[in-house]
Amino acid sequence: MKRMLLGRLAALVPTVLLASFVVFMLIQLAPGDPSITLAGENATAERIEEIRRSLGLDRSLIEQYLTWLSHAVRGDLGKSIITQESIAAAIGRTLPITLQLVFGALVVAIVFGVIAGVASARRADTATDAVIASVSSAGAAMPSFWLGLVLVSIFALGLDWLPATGFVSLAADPVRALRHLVLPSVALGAVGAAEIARQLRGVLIEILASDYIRTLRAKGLSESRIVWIHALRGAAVPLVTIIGLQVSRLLGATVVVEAVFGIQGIGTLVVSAANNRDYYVVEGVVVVMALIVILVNFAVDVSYRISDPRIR
Amino acid sequence: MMAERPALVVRNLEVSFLTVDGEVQAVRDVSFEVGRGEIVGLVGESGSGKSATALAIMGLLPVVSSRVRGSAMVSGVDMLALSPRQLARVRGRDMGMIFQEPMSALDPLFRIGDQIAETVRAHQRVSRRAAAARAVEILGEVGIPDAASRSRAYPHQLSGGMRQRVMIAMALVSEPAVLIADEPTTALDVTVQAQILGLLRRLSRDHGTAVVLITHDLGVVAETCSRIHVMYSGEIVEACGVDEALLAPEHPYTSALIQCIPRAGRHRQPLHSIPRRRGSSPDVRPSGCRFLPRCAHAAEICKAPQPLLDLGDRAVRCVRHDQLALPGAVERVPQ
Repeated sequence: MKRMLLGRLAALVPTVLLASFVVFMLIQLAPGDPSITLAGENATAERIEEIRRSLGLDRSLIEQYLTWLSHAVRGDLGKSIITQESIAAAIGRTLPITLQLVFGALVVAIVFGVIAGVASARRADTATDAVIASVSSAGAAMPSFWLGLVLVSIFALGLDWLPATGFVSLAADPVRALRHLVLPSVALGAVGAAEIARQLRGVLIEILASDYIRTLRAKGLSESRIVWIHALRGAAVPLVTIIGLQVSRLLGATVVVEAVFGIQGIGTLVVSAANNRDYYVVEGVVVVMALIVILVNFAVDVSYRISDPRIR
Repeated sequence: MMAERPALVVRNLEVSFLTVDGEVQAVRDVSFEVGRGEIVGLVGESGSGKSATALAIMGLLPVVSSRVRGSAMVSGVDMLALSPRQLARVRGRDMGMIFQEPMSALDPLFRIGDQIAETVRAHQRVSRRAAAARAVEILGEVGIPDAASRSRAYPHQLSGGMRQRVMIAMALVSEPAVLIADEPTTALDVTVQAQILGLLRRLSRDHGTAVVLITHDLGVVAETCSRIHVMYSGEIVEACGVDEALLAPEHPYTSALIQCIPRAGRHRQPLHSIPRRRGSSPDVRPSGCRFLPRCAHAAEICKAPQPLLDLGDRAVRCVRHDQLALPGAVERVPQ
């Protein structure tokens, strides 16, 4: 087991390298370059060329990539070309904010998704099932920025129950942090909840019709114990897979929701960096994101082995 | 003095399934009883209604798509009159059930000891530790060697025979009055089958458990049961002691089933088979004897509805039963 895990971890290294290389090349494909931004308006071509040279942008892409990589492996992601802030520091400042938001959205997705999925599987093909199915189709189809705007106009501007914008760290002030977290988490997590509900319904219906569930009924277990302990445990592998996919999706979708709720997270950082062609900030953020996604997938993989004794 | 009340009394059981084409009757007019410590066989081919009978008694048929009428008294309580919640309380405590496929009938994700302990705790207020100890004890009783360490195994780590022993342990851990065994040995090889049947006999005798043994295999019945109920097309067609059934069957279907058992000493003879079913699906059943289309002894009188005739020590659903000297497991010698 331990050996298998180490092997899997080692296999992640080439994946991260490949991701960092592809992203590095892709950003350069976008037209424009940071020296134009830095040179300001009405700059001469010579001035722009001078800045390009000073930034090392005149060298070959491979050369630039290898230089970046040699620093990155030592934990040095460089400095923002535009703001001169250390990129590691900028990520350190914004990543926890985004992770808190993603975590909130994940809680919303799992809690609502599992409850709705279990309810509709237990009452398959009834009115309850149909209502849940149509609500979750609507949830899956709704863009999160639009849902965010609707939530803000109802619960913040209309009823004044919750703040419309802003962010507070959970560590600093849990109560205020939760009040700020509710609306963006719901906006971001709704799609995931719908997805989890629909997938879980299908998996559970199949499990609830299986022979071993009949045995559990025959030995006199209560229906709720059968569903929540045995059937849900049987659904763990597909459930964890969907949740893992949701984490990747949420990390991407957070950009839009951060904009709606005025949250200065990593999405905001990467969007403004991309607009300014601040190559190394984009590169740093994307590599960190890729690393998180890869680690989540790894954790999902490990959890399969823990939850199913047959593949241990 | 009154005779001891039988552990299981089934009266006028009727099961039908709701399909897109309407209600289809799967079991009709089934009545039987099983005494304490007795093993009674329920025999018939696929689709004869024997499993539907068992599942109906256990209350395990899907509520929305089936209808059950009649009564099934276990220790004086009618199982068919209970609410789902009340049923969950008596299932596993007053009656247990084991299934055909030990491979898929156990939860693959839980240790077998935990699955048994869970059953104990569903019915008795005992500590986790006491339930676990009881699980090890019953695993030992059903013949699992080294029960304490085996109780920590997962189902996939056990052989088919061992898994069926686990199923039996789980069904009997609360010492139910009634055990329903639905084809418990069909998925096992012959030597293991004999061991499992021996185990069922011993447990039934030692604990006074009334066992309903459902099978299509007359060999299993001969080895295990004291009485037999032969089912055909949802009805009981013959009910009697096992020896009477095997030596002198009175219903042509029982006799035909016996003839289907391959026997030593009959070289170069084709294996016997009952003619193909014609018109026996529930919606086009004949109004008279349901076996008529396949019966070698059919006569005009068989087209009338056939009641189950009470002959004292046996019952048979054949109007011509006393005119036919049907062959059993032993050839009759002309005197």
